[in-house]
Amino acid sequence: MLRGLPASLVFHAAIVSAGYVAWPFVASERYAETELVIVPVDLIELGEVTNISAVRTPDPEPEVLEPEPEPEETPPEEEPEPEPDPVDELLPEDEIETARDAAPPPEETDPEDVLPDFDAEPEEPAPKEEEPEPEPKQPAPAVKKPVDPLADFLNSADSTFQSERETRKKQPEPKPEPKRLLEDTPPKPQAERRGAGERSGNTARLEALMYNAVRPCWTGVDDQPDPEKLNVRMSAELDKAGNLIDLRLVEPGRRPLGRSPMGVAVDRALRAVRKCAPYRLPEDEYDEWKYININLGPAFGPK
Amino acid sequence: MMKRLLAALTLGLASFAGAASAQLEVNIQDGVFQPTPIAIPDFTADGVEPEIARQISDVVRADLESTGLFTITPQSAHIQTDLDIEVAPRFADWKIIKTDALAVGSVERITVDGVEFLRGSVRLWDVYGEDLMRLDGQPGRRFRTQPEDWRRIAHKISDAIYTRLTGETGYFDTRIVYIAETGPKDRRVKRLAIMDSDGANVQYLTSGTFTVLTPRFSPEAQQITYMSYESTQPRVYLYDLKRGRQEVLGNFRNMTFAPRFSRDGKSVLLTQAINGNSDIYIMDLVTRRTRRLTDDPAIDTSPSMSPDGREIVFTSDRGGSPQLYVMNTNGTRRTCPSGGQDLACRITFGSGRYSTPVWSPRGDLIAFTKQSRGRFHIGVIGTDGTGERLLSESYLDEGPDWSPNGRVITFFREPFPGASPKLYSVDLTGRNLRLMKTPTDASDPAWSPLLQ
Repeated sequence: MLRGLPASLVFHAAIVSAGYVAWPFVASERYAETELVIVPVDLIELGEVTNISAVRTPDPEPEVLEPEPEPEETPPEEEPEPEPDPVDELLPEDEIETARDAAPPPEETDPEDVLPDFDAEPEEPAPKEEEPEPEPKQPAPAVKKPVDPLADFLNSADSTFQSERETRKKQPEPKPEPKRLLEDTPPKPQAERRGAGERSGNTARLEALMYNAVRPCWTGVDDQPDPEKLNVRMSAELDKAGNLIDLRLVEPGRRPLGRSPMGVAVDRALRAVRKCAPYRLPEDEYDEWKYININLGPAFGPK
Repeated sequence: MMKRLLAALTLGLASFAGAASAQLEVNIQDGVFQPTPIAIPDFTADGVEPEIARQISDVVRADLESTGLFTITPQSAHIQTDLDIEVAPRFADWKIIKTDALAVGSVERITVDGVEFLRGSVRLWDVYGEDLMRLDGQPGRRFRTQPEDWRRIAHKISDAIYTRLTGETGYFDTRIVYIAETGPKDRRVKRLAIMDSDGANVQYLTSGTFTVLTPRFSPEAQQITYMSYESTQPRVYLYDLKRGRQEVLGNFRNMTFAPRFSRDGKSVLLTQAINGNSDIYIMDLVTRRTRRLTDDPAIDTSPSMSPDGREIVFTSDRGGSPQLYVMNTNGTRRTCPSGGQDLACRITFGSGRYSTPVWSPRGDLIAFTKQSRGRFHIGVIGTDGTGERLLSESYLDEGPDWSPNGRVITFFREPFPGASPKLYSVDLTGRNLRLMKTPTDASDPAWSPLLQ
C-alpha cells in the first residue's frame, strides 16, 4: 500500500504532464493542417444555355472545371504597361479637326436670334495647333510620322489591333514553346487536337466555359438596325494563363470605316473578348484552347 | 518530282485546313444588355474658369446618362487624374475600374478677329482596345461658340460620343418646343415655350394672352407651326424663330388645326373642319396653294408625312372608331396590307382608339397614342400595321413626337385625374422612361431636328 500510492501518484502525474506537453502540439498540428490545405474553389456561372451537347464522356471530372488559382499571373500582364508609349505614334496624327463652319460673325447675328448659330473651327486653329505641338508632354520624341490624313485614315482601321500586337511584343514572352509547336510540328499535334469540330465532351465543356465567360461582356446588337446581319467572327490566341495574346477579325476582315451598325458590332465584339480576358480554362488542356474562334452575332446559334 | 512536291503541298494544306477546322469554336447568339460604362473626367480648363469646364463636363455626363445606354464611372473611382488631351491615358488605370470608354476633354478661351470664343475639344479612348476611337471620322472633335452658348459645346460633344458608341446620330444638340401651362385649371394660361433638349434655356415665345396648342418644328428648326385661338376661331400659325414673328397660315374661312410640316419643310399638312367635317389638306408655303388630301364624311385629322414624303399617316373614325390610316401623298390608290386596293389603308386593328400618329424619322415605325380600357398608352407600330408595341401606360399619356434619330419619343403625361401635365421621354425599348424637367406644367412637346 505504502509502495503502491507513490507509484500511482507518479504514474498519474506522468500522464497529466505528458498530456499537458503533447496536447497543444496535436491541436496546433490540426490547425496547421487546415491552414495549409488550400482548396481552390471557383464559382462557375452556368448560363441558361450551354453548348454541352449529347456527346458525353464518362470522365468524372467536374473538378477539372476549377482551373488553377492564378491570381498572380494576371496582374503582371496588365501592370507592365502603364505608360502611354504604346499610342505615342498616334499622337502626331491626332490633330482635332475643326467641325462645322457656320460662323456667322457676331455683327451679322440678329440680337433677337432665338437659336444663335453654332460655329466650329475654321481653318485658323489648325496651324495654331501644329505649332505648339512639339509635344512637351510626350515622354519620348518617338517616331514622329508625317501628318498624312489619308494614311492616318487607312491606318486607323488597322490600329485597333495594333495594341494587341504591341502588348504581345511587350509581354515577357513566356516561352518560345508555342512557336515551336507551330513551326516544328505542323500537321501532327494539330491533327491530334480534339477540337470543336469533333464535339468531344471536353471541347464541348471548353466551349461552355468560354461561352459563359464571354457572353456577360457582350451587349449584343439587338439595338442596331438589321441586327441579323451583324455577325462578327474573330480568332483569338491565348497564353496558358488565359490572357489574350492576339485577337483578329476574321469576318468582316476589318472594321468598316465611318459610322455603321457593323462598325458598332465589331467594336462591341472586340471589346467583349478583350474585357473578359483572362479566361480561366484548364491549363492541362491548353492545346485545345490556345487558338479559339469566337463568333458573336444573331447568326451564331448553339450547335 | 514536281508532281510529288505538289501532292505533298496539297496534303500539307489539307491537313492544315483540317486542323484549323478542328479549332475550338465559341458561338454566341445574343448578348447581355447592359449600359456601357464610360468615364468622363472633368475637362481641363485653359484660360477659362475651371467651373465652366466642369459645367460642360457635367452636361456631357448628364446627356449620356439620360439615354439609359451609359453608366458614368464616378470620378471618385478614377485612378489617373493627370489626363491630358494630347497624351494617351494609362489604360491599365481605366481597365481596373472597368470602364469601356474614356472621354478626355479640354475647354479654352480663344479670340478670333477680336471676338472671344469658348472652344471645347474631346477625344474618346477605347480602354480595352487601347486605341483612339474616331469621332465622325476624326481623331477627336473640337467645337467653338460664343461663351454664353457653352451648353451647346457640351451637347455637340455628347452627340459625337453617342454617335461613336451607338452607331446612331445623337439628339442632344436639339431643342424642344412645348406648351407651358400655368394658372388654375379653369383659367389656364398656355404659352409657346422652347428649351434645350435637356430642359435648359427655357424661353417663352408667346405671351399667354391666347391659348396655343400642338406646336411642331420645321425640318430646318427655324420655324414652328402651331394652332392658336388668337382670332375668333382656332387657326394654324407660323412662328419664325429668327425674326421672332408669327403669321396666320393661309386664308381659311374655317377652323384649321393639327398642323405638321412636310419632311422637306416646304409645305404644311393640316386639318380643316367645314360644317363639322374634318379633312386633311396640304399647303405649299411658297405658293400658298392648298390641296385637299382626304374627302370623307368621317373625321380625318393628325396627318404626319413619311420621311420620303410619299405617304401620310392620319387618324380617322371612318371605320367607326378612331384608327390609324396610311395614304399616298399624291392621292392615288394603294394596295392595303389586307390585299385590297383603297385610297387609304387602315393599319391598326387592336382594341381601343388610336390617335396622334407620328411617322418616325427613320421611316420604319409610327408612334401613336392609344386609349384602351380607360388608360392611355404611347406605342409604336410598323408602317404596315405589324409589330405594335406599347411603351408607356398612364391615366393620360398623349402627343408623342420623335427625337431626330428616331430612338426616343417625347410625350406628356397626367398620371392621375387633375394632375399637372409634365413632359416625359421614353426610348424605343420602353425601358428608359424619364421625366423632362420644365419650370411649369407642360404639354404637347415637339422635338427639333439636330441644330446646325
